[in-house]
Amino acid sequence: MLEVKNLSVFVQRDTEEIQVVQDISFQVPKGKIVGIVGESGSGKSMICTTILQLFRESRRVSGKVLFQGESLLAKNKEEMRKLRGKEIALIMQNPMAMFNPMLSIGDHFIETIQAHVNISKKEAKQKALEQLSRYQLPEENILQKYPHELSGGMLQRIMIAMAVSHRPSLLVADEPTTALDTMTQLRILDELLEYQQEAGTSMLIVSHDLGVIAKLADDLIVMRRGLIVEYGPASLVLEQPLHSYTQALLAVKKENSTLEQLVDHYEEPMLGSLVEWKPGYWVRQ
Amino acid sequence: MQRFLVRRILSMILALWGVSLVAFFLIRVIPVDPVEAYFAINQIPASKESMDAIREKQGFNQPLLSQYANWMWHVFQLDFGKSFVSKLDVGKELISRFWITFGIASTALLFVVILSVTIGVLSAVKQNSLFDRLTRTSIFTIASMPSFWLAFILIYIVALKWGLLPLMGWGTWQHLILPSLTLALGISPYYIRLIRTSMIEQMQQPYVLYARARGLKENVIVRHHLFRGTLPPLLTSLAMTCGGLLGGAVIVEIVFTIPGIGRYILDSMGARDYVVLQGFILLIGFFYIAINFVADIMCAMIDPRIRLKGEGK
Amino acid sequence: MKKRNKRLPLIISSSLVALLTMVAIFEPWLVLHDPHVINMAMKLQGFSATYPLGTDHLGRCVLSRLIAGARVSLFTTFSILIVTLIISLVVGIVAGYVGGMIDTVLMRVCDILLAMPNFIFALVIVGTLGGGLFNMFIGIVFVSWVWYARMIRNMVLSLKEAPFVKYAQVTGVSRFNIMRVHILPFVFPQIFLLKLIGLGSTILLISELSFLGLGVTAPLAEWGMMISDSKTYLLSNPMLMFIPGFMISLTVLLFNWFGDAVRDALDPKTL
Repeated sequence: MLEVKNLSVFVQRDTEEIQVVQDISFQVPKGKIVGIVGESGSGKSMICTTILQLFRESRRVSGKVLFQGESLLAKNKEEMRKLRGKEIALIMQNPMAMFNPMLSIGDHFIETIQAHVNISKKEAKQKALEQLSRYQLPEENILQKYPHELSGGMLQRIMIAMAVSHRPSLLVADEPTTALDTMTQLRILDELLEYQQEAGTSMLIVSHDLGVIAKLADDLIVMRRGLIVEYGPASLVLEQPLHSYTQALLAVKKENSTLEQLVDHYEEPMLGSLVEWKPGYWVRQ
Repeated sequence: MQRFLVRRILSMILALWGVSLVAFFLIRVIPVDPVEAYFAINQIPASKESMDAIREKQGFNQPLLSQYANWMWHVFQLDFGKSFVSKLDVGKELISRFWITFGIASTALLFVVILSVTIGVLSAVKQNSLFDRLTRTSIFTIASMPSFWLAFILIYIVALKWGLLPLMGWGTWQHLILPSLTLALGISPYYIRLIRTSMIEQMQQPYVLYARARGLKENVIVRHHLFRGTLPPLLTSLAMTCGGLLGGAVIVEIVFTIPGIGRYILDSMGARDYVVLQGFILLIGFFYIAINFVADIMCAMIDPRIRLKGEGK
Repeated sequence: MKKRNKRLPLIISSSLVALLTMVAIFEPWLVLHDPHVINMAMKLQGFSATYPLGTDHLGRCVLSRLIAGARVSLFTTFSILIVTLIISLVVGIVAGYVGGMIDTVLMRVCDILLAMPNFIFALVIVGTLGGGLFNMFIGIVFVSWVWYARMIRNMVLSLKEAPFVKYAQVTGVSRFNIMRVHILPFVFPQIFLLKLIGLGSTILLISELSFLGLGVTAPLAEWGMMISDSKTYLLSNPMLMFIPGFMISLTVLLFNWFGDAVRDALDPKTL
């Protein structure tokens, strides 16, 4: 489905070029969920925006991103646009900032539907209503509401409903539950999982919260400072983590301390290269 | 929305009252006696009796406040008084000429909107392109030119050299083009800059990134997201410019010898016809305040955040 | 290298402004002919060695009148700058710092004055006063100070909460001294910069009023008035109209550029 090969991303900052993603390879098989976990600045969000080619700043990319066998990096703007939202849908963090405050939910929904299907506004509205009722969102007059009238959790759910309205074959979720309360988090994860199983969609989910990933992912990637530290079946990684960084992450989870504390304490340098420990299980040694 | 409306209407009434104060007291505060000046300027030999008679007739002997109340009473009945010089009804005279000026100003506004929206949007979308850099240089230059000079240059080239449009005067729609174009050229640079900066600012917003992530076409993003965001600041300053447009129209009318309100006011100033001046200040003030009011309401309709402001959230 | 590029516009524009000011100051020694002397025998002459830019409909030397016009325009502009600066600083600082009734009254007055479009207001004031250089000066000052006063007042309001002002209050520094020592030095540079950027539009306003016959009156020379004088000769002598307008545009352009350059030079972000 999605295959990332030797991906490196460089960002131009002032006068120097910084490598934010270093030689990363992974794949998202059809119908599977792959989770990427790491602290902020580990380069995980960069991977999402690079896959979708959503960036403005001067960014240099090397390596390959194959989607259904086709190279995404070779596609032109219009071809990419046609894929975005239709074949590859993105769910972003901080929904409060992602919705245009001057447009109603209905405007957002309708323009999303009309972006890929040539139908009238009325039909698009009908589709939007269907979609909302499928996700048990109170459909009456929510379309007339403006973003600031709704809660973050509600907006996030609307974002998901919008993202899956074109039945994409790949769903990329970048921190889909950050900044939401626990109950809403659970509900949103359930909805995602439910949709994923029903539609058989592949999914790439990125989070700094190991709990979120643990709940969903089939395969798990642990990233630190642009490098993959550990990569393998989620059950294995979570049960017997090999790399000390992953162990530290899990310890954080158990002790309920924050990630910031971990970052402060974890100082071990990362040396060595990624080694295949058993088939499909990689670790940096 | 209701609270917003009430607050806005209250401040509008205050401003209207202020304008009436300005209109009334400006003429009386300045150290020139309108009656004396009237006699002197129109070279009528003035005797003390005849001046006193006029003062009596115009109510200048009464206390200021009762003069003001009296004047306001008439204004409320839409009676702006009779001209000091021609004895004609000032309200009617002003309105009939105002329509001509209004015609020029509103055509100019149309030109401004067309010019600045197309050029502004294009130069924002094609940021730092040759087109963008060329516009920036040329609007900087045009903004420095006095409108009356620009008018003469347009007359010289378009009317005199090419003979495409009538030279001066008033009557057909062709007479409207050059004056309003002159006005528009003088004002558009400001708007081109405004639209460009605002659009570029909008491009940095996360919701534009999200719109791209949903695969919206670039022109949809420009129309729905970028341009919509520039509308409130655009409308507000367009309304403010309406005052500038009217002022500019006064100058342009003189250049093109159009019998609008500008000519009338200049003549009345020359003759010290204070009744006309009062009516003029009132009319322009009222118009300007009303336009600003309408613009604010429109902004509130476009941007839901404005109408919720101050609603004790 | 980058820094030098940023300074270059400032250096060029400020030296050009200085040059123009010099021309205005030394006008009596620079003019070739008396700009006010009428010589009907020499009217509407073309370019020549004696009259480099020709003569106008009354036989006056156009170049000399241009130089004389620079003196009038710049002198008026700078006096307007100084007077409006003083008025708006006094009103703004007093309204902002003293607050209370004084603030309310002053700000309502500002609201009312802002309810009239600037140019028309100036036009009405100058017209009622009866035209002429001094009356034009009064009219322009009258409409110019309001907006800046309001800006200053808002700045002072936030400055009032600054720790060093609070400290001065606690230690018993008098109100007047706080305004003079602690507030004025902070507000002044920002307002001066704003005024500097607005200089171009003041020059335009002067020329527009003079064009309408409400500003500078004969025999003094002013660029707007020169254009007004030459309008009947548009067909036969377009240069008479073209040259003074070119001078106005050039001057306004120069001042706009100068204002922008000063702002860019002061703004650390653009360095």
